[in-house]
Amino acid sequence: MTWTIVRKEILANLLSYKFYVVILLAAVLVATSFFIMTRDYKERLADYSLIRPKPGEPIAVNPPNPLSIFAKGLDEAMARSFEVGPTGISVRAGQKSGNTVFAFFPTPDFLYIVRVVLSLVALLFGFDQVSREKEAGTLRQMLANQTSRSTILIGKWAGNFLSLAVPFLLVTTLGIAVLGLDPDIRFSSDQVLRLGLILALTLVYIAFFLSLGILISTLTRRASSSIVILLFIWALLVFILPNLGTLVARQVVDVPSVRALSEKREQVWTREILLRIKGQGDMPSHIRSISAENDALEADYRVKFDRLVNLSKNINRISPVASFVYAVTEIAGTGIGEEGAFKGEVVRYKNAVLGKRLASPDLKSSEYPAFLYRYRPLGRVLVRGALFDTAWLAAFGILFFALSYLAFVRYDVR
Amino acid sequence: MIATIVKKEVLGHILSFRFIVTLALLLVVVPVTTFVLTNDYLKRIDDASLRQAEIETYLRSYAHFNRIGNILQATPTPIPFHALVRGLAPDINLGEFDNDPLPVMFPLVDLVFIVTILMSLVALIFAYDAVSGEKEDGTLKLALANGLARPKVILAKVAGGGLTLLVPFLLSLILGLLVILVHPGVDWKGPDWVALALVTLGTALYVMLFYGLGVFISSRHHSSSASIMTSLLVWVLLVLVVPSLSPYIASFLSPTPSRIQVDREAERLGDTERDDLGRKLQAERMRELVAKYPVLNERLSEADKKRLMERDPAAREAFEAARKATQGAWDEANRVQGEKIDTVRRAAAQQEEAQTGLARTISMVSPLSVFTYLATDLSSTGLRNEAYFGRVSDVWDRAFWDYAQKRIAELQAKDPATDWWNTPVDMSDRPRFVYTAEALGGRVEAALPGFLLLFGYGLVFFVLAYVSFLKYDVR
Amino acid sequence: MTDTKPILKADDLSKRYEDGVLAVDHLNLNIYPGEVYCLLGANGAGKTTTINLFLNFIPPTTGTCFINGIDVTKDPLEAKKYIAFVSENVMLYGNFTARQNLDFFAKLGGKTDLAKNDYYQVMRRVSLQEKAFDQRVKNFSKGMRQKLGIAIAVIKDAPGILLDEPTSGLDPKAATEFLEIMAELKKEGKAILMSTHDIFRAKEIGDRVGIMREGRLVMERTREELQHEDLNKIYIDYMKSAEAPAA
Ligand SMILES: Nc1ncnc2c1ncn2[C@@H]1O[C@H](COP(=O)(O)OP(=O)(O)OP(=O)(O)O)[C@@H](O)[C@H]1O
Ligand SMILES: [Mg+2]
Repeated sequence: MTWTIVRKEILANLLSYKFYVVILLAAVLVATSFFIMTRDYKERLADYSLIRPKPGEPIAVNPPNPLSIFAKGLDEAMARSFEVGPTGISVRAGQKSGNTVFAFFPTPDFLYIVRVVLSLVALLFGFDQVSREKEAGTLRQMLANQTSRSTILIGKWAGNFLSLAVPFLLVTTLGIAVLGLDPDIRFSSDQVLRLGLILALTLVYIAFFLSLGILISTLTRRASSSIVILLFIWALLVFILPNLGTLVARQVVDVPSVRALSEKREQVWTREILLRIKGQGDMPSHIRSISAENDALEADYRVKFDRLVNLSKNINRISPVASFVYAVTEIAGTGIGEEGAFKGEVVRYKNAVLGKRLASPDLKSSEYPAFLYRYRPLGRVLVRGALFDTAWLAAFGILFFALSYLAFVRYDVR
Repeated sequence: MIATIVKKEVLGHILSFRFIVTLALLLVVVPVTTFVLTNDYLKRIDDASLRQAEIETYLRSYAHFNRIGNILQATPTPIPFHALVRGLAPDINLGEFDNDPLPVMFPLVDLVFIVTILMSLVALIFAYDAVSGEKEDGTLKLALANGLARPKVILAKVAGGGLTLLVPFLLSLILGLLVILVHPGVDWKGPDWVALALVTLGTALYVMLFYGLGVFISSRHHSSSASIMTSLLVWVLLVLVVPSLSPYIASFLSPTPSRIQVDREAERLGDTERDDLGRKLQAERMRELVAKYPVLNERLSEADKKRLMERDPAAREAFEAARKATQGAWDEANRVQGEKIDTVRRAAAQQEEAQTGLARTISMVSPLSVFTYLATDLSSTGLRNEAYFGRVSDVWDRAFWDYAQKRIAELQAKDPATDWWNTPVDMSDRPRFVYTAEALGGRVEAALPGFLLLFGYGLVFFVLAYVSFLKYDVR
Repeated sequence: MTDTKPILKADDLSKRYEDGVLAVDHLNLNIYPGEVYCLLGANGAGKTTTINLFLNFIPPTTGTCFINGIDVTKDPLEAKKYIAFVSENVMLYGNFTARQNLDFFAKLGGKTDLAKNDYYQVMRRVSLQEKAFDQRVKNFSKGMRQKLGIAIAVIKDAPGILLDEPTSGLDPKAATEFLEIMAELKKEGKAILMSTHDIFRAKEIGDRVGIMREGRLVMERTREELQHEDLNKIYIDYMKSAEAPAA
């Protein structure tokens, strides 16, 4: 029985103009995004091959992450070069910093397309599920048979989910397959697994918005009020709440500005060098105190910043959309947590290099250890929040579906 | 007659569910945003004065002209407009070790965001059934059967709807401004208010434009559910997709060399290639001198040289000439290579500028970008301000350099032997960098094309709506 | 007929809406296999409400509806196995063809093993024109959709049939054909409850005719009784007497 309704829903979608327009749009956007982000990745890869340290150079560079094609996140910050000198770390950013227009608008990666466009598409599939059938009289016609309301609702949900998910997965896997043919882009098996998880998470996300759409459609009598309410909720969930949350967290947690920090660092090392020129102490001790002070700055900043991040994450999670973004970026290895771990590694590397430097008599060595960043293993990423975020998103989806069931049972079908 | 329809339109909207929701949403979101941004602004002011104090403390003990350059730098200070518009976020700073990744994940809410995303969506929500919905209800047929002229109807619709839309926005903006005004730390001056008035005017154009677009789409459809679908798709493309794609398309059409590559090239020119050239020039010049002063050919230790110079004035002249020649050769090498580096850097900068310009132009297909540039330029938080800041900080750089030269000359006059490079100096009389936003005139001038473009888009959409409505089949 | 048990039975049925309107007022009805019951009444008399109560779309305030002896509020799904329904305004799925609509609802009605031909047969039986069988319902006229709605009821082959103003919008020929189908269904032993405004056809097809006013069944006549009476006059009289006390 459920299957009959699922089939009907799919057929109805396949026969509607809306379905093709929407799917076409989503497909074009996903394809465009893949194309653009691949180019972006390759450009950064070319940069990487330029700045990649020669053996023995005290430079920490992490190659761009191929998963950044899907969720760019902080990969650009992580793919900079960190050159360890006696007075600290000098940083060099990549190509894009030249074009300021980039700074105005969000990156159109797969995550963005899914987050913004696919959520809207899912709502468009859900918003008139009940009211349309009511207006057409088919809801009464269905219920005049031995079809229970839960059967209808589940059938509707599943049918629409399949009509959304299948073409979407087709387009995406096709895109990924094309990417796979590119010799410059190589995914490790771990990354393939991560990619699979991201796609699965995307399906959960679609399910969440579909459930929300159906919920509102069971709570309203008319499709027009349903869509109005949904669009407002959507704007709140996708844009306003996650963005406002970050600002609100900043009110509560005091974090020194980036500028203050870098000024402080400059002061530290120039002071030490001047003291050295004046003839106070020997060079190694100055190097040591620069390093120690910088590490203290970094540690202090980390503590405060982590508090800020945790608070803003928790506020933002009011909107499950934020959870989705956190989970996807962390799984892709371009998230805030990964970046923090990476920074920690860079600091550790700096200390190793300095150790080596200080051990040699002329404070120079031709053989510094090479820097290799190992991404946190998937298991840890999941435990450290991604799993929670996924569960949170799924829980809301299930909650909305349960609520829509409760509403639909009471729905006046006349 | 037309007043009757406008009144009906306004009333119809004001009594509608979506109006209430919009009003409620804006009345919450705008004041909350301004409240949060105001606090953020005050915090940044505190941070700036704290930083200034740190620098002063530092200078008290370590004010040497050596390496003061990286301590004393022109930094933009927060301006009062930051309580409404954040503009280009300063903390996404990839050039330093520390960066603040939060805004990368979720761009922050400000007035520009509320207008561009929220208000455009609201405008379409208000407009999508302006024609198709009335057709479905049959009221359009009735109205036209009563002898109403179609041009009047459509005119009244756009005017009535657009004006109603501005009401919740203005109300919430007033509330937001109250939040700003009761904060003692924020000091808005005349130009700020004028700029705000202009931004509001831009908002009105922007919202009307989207309302016109919505009415146009509505009058191309016969069912409002199809109309909202098309409206949303157009909105997604225009507001969410085009602006984000534009810089990437521009970088595709007008590529720039990677900054890293340019740096590498500059480094090579200034390092190995300069050394080669310097050595070559030095050798050339020395060859002439050696012919003149054979003493230069002898391999002497520094001590021997010194002794020889004291004893023999001819040798002294020879060594002096050699020193000068070497210096000259390296100066020449530095100059030549410096010019080469300049050329490379300038070419790269030009390419970057071309790309930025192209990206800007492409993005202006979307009214969102037009409004964003307009509002950020007017509030001096945008691209134009970036350039302006570059100019004023250059001016300050030069002033400071002049000051340094003057002070060094003073030091040398007092005691020629002084190591002025490493002597602590009281720099409390140095020229200080005080950042003030650009004068309003320039900003308004920069925003003018944006206003025209918004108006043009609005006009096009209105004409399209008008024409479609005249041909609309009301059955 | 009274010795068999009724398929459709309303027992002391009342419905008061939330706003206080008493739409059905202590209604008792028994409709037996092979019987057509026509409900007449002015707009707002409570006919649609009665049918909705039978379908369990709304809960009754008092009383019970039984279908084939099953209390519809207790076991609605089981009860609905024995009933088919033609709604007042059949819109159906506009993007589906007539056959696709029929196929879907037949499956919901438990007919999962039908072949293409069975559908065509039913559509022919309700005299839907041949060329419309595989056309989208979106472009159907109201009468065509009504016929398709009847086809959906027919194909379910349930012992009870509820029809809410099935002839509204049908042209005279189609209406006549509809009556023929009703006669056939009656012959097959279906119990039919049909609300209508069409007094003449009610007289023609109805084994019993009831007139509702303000939720109450104010008159009931059998076919035999009506042979000698003018139903139209009775109807108008009853309506008048309703206005009289108020005036
Ligand atoms: N959802 C509702 N809420 C409140 N009152 C209702 C509701 N639906 C119907 N009514 C009222 O119940 C009464 C009976 O309505 P019903 O639709 O059953 O009449 P009807 O006999 O089918 O009329 P018609 O011939 O116009 O179809 C009317 O007075 C109506 O106003
Ligand atoms: Mg009725």
